[in-house]
Amino acid sequence: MIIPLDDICNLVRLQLGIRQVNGADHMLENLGADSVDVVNIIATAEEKYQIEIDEAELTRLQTVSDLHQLIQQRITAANR
Amino acid sequence: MPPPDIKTLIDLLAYRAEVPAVTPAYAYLQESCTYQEMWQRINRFAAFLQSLDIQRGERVVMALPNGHDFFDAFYGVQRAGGIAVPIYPGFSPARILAMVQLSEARIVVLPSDTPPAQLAGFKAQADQRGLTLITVANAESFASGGDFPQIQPDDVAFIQYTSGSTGNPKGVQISHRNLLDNVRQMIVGMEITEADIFVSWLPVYHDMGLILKTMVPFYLATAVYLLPTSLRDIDLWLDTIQTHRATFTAAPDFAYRLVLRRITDPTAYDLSSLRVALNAAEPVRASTIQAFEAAFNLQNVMVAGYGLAEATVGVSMWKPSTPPKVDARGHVSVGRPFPHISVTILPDDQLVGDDQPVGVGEIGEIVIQSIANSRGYFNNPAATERLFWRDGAIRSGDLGYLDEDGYLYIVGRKKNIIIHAGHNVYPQEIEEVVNGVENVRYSAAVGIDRGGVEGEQVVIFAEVRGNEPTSGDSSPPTTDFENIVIDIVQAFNGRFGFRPARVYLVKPKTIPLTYNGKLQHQRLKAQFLEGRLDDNGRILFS
Repeated sequence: MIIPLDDICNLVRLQLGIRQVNGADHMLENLGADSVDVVNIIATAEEKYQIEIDEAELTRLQTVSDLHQLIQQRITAANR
Repeated sequence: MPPPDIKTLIDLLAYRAEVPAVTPAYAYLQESCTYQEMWQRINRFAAFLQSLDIQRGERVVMALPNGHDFFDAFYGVQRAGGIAVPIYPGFSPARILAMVQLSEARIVVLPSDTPPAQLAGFKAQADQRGLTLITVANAESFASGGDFPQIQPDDVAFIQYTSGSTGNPKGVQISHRNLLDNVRQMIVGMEITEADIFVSWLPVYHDMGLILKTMVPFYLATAVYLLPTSLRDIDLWLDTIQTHRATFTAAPDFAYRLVLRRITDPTAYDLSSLRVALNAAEPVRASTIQAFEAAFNLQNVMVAGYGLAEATVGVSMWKPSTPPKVDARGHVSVGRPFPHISVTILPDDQLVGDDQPVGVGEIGEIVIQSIANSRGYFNNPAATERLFWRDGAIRSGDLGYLDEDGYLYIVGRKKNIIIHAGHNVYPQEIEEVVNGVENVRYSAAVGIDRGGVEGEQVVIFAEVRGNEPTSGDSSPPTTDFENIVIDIVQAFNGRFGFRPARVYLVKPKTIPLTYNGKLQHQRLKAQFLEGRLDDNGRILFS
């Protein structure tokens, strides 16, 4: 399953209450998310895509595109 | 005022039947009932119960709606020496039988107009359990005389089951003394006189509708016009106020909001006779007071009140004809406690035995000392022990604070508090914010702990307007849903400085309420965690 970047942008939009979100947006710096928001975004993604993401990996996440790649990796790994 | 030797409700009603009053006891819809008629019917029902060998202190369950039957049975039981257990008449037979078991009753009273087939089915179930099922009409063949026991002030008059969000309801035991004390407290605190005219559609089988809206009028012999509890025909409420130039009505906040939504032309009604429109039994919104008074051209008539079954009912009410006090967070003050009631605020995380009240303006658990406090719950010593703090003061389970002038503000329920990052967040405050978002009709906030380091997180359920399931094949308005969620998150963040973990848009009537309109946070949380909202297709969007 391939997840479009738009779907992840949308997930972030809803979670943070922001109308415009792009892949290049930096979650903490541009979008004003805090670390708990990131945890909640991950929890929503885990539920939506039936995947598991290790908390340790969250520190690597900076942009929405990073998040998209991480989710895509987990989905691919889960389906292998 | 009745003479001072009136020590029980039975004394009161006997006195009212003997000394002619200017008003009937009450009117239900178009039909009024005099004190003499009511007293005769009470005695007849009591004689009927004696023929069933009713014992002193025996509980009798009554599932009776607003109407004449209720008063016959409620006071007939007490006249015969029993304890009335009024319950919601809309309960299923299974639920009624569960209440019978809980109250250890043997006799169940159903409405006279129960359809025969339904009655027969219920009777079969009751017979199997050795219960006696009766209707008020069954008493008709009995004479109204009899040798009835002398009722004492400390006898329990009735048991008020609190609806409880989960688990077993608790039965608050209310004595005759409690009732008369609280009636007097309310008369003084609410400045009620013989000249007042009451209108009420509140359930007579529940404390506010029963004690404030019928016992207070009986005590003072003021006029009271009772209506069915159904709000389908909400005009009837306003019409009745207008026709009888009523001065006093009461309802929870939702009912006033319903009026504002349903009545398209408020100028068609003249409610100028109202002295008090009490808003109580659920969180009071400043916006409701403002909108209602503006719509009907009233000023300082809608007042916030507070009470609970464990203190009989009334604890405090804002002073009528005085502009309301609303704090910075939007809480409307419920005024100062009534006479012979004192309120103490304890830390809400306090250990049993700790007795240091919090300071002025600090939020904590509301503890009430009152002469009208109940002696505790029926057959539930553990809950009774938890109820009492010390010297007969009761822990309300409600959170609030007192300001520098001694005015009380209600903030929420203790058990529903959400602890987010070490700070207390009150569902009621969240709901006030979310309910203000366009297209949200109702909302609930609960705390969910997923076991991670982030601790308890706020999850919001919002019922949205105008999305009743349609038979058409129109695709769901996803963009609208997205915008609602974004609006909710923004409004929340603007108010609390952090974001909710998740917002679920749900179908109307998903959020569970008690039959008297209180939001059941714990039940909603359980339904959500058990996946029942998902399974039942209640979630529209998340």
